[in-house]
Amino acid sequence: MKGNPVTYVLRLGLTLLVITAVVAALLGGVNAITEDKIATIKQEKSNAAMAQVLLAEEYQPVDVPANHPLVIGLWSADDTGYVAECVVTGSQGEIDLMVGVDASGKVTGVSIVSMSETSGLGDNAKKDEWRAQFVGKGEVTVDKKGGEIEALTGATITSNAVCEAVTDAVRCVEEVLS
Amino acid sequence: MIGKLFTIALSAILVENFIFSQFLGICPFMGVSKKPNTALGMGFAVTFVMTLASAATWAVNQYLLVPLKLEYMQTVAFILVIAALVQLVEMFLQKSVPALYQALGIYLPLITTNCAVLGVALLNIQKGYSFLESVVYGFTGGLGFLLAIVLFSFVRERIDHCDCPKAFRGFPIALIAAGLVALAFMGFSGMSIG
Amino acid sequence: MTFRSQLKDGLLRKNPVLVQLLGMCSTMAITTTLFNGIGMGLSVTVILILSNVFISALRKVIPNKIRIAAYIVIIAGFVTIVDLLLQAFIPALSENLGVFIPLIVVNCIILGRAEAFASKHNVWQSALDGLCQGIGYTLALVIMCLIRELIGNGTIAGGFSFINGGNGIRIVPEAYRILIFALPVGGFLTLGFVIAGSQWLSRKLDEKAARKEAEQQ
Repeated sequence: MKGNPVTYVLRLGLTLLVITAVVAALLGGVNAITEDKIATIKQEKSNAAMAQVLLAEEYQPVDVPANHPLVIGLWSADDTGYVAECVVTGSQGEIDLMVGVDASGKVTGVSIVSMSETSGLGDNAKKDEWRAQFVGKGEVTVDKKGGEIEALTGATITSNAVCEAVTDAVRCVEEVLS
Repeated sequence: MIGKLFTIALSAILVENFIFSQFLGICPFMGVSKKPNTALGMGFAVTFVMTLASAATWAVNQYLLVPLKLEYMQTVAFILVIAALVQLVEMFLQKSVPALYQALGIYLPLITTNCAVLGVALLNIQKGYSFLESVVYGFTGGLGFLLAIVLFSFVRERIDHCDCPKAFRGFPIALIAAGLVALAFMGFSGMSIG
Repeated sequence: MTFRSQLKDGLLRKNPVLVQLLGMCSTMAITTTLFNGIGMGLSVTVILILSNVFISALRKVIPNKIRIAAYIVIIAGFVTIVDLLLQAFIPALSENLGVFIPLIVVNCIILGRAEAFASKHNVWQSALDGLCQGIGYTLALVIMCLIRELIGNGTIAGGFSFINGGNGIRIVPEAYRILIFALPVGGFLTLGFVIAGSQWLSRKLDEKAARKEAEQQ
């Protein structure tokens, strides 16, 4: 270490500051390019998920009644029913899913917007065959608790979480309907 | 409230153990689990830093990144906060609690690049935890790491004396043993909490 | 130092995962389908080359005392760029890899190569080193994926949307898959066996080289 210690420390700080500033500027640039694209992908995904559970011309946002902790968004789908977006904790983090409920309080479909469940196990909740079980049902529980939904092999926690979310969505829509 | 905190704690220690089910912090787990003493030291150091890092990164995210709409800088900001935090803890311990510094000192620099620490900071945000929940998740996640590394260090002491094929000696057999411990931990995953 | 020897080092002799035992978290966590493995491998390779190049270029500018902090900032920057690009252009991959993309920042391979190689060599050599080490890492991931996917799920090449709608090519009937290999436990076991295999292979190669030398004398 040669020279004045004060200038040395200043040089250290300055070098780090410059590097951080350059990195931050670069990131800002990349973010500006990707931001809209990422937002569009998210929007498209949730639109596709909505259309999958209950097809409608237009989805109108509706206020979510209190005491439905899992429901984060609710839309009325024309006059046919409602679509509820739910977030529930699975075995590896949050599961974001859409639940369609018709005017009589029956489930019209369930679709997964995003999840990070174990690949090959909880991840199978994305499969059509499994999700089809929910159609036409109301409040649900897994078979291991005496319910009507056959749990995924080796992924009871995930199956349970999805059932909880669907049940909460159904109750929420029933409350809005009445 | 207490119920949710309890659920977070239990799942962080057993069900979603950072090592055995989330694969976070494997490098120090394999690197410093040769002796129970060092494993214990590393475990405590990680728990300490994970708790502090959860609190600090949560605050940075909530009061700095979100208002400024700089969420995309999360990774950069968090790793800087963690690096600075580790440095501060090291200096503080060296000056004020030399005994503890002697015990944990050599592990501290390694913790900056422990993915369990950055992992817990990112997961707190991803899971949308509140401040208290984040701190509890960080602390109990650290306890889970401590439990895993100490348990495994006992297993590892015995492996050193085993007679296994040449190619498996050292690291490979240790990994397989870790796999068997992970298998035991899988028993907790059937536990339905809540 | 030739490209050949660097490549050989990266793939086998100094393979980052199998020999240097670095970056094990991601190696075990995401290797459940070939798509994830190749995606992760390529992401890390790109970041490794970029960070090696920049750190090598700046090696005389960055004071020794703050070099680690500077390296981490540079690496974190590139990781975030790759993360954002993946989210925008390959959302399926970004979703599968989840938190393990930002966690590339603390992947010891990258910081390890920065400290051990890029800070001491010129830009061109560092770029090659990044490429070779990256390929070595990808190779290890691909081996892990092939084994775990085949045994754990009974398929190969899963996750690519153009192959059988992302379900992969089924080799073993679904009823006979050994699920445990797709789980965390399988990660530890498979990596243990793969590293043992690579140790066995490199010993055989060493013996062969020694025998050849003995014959020549």
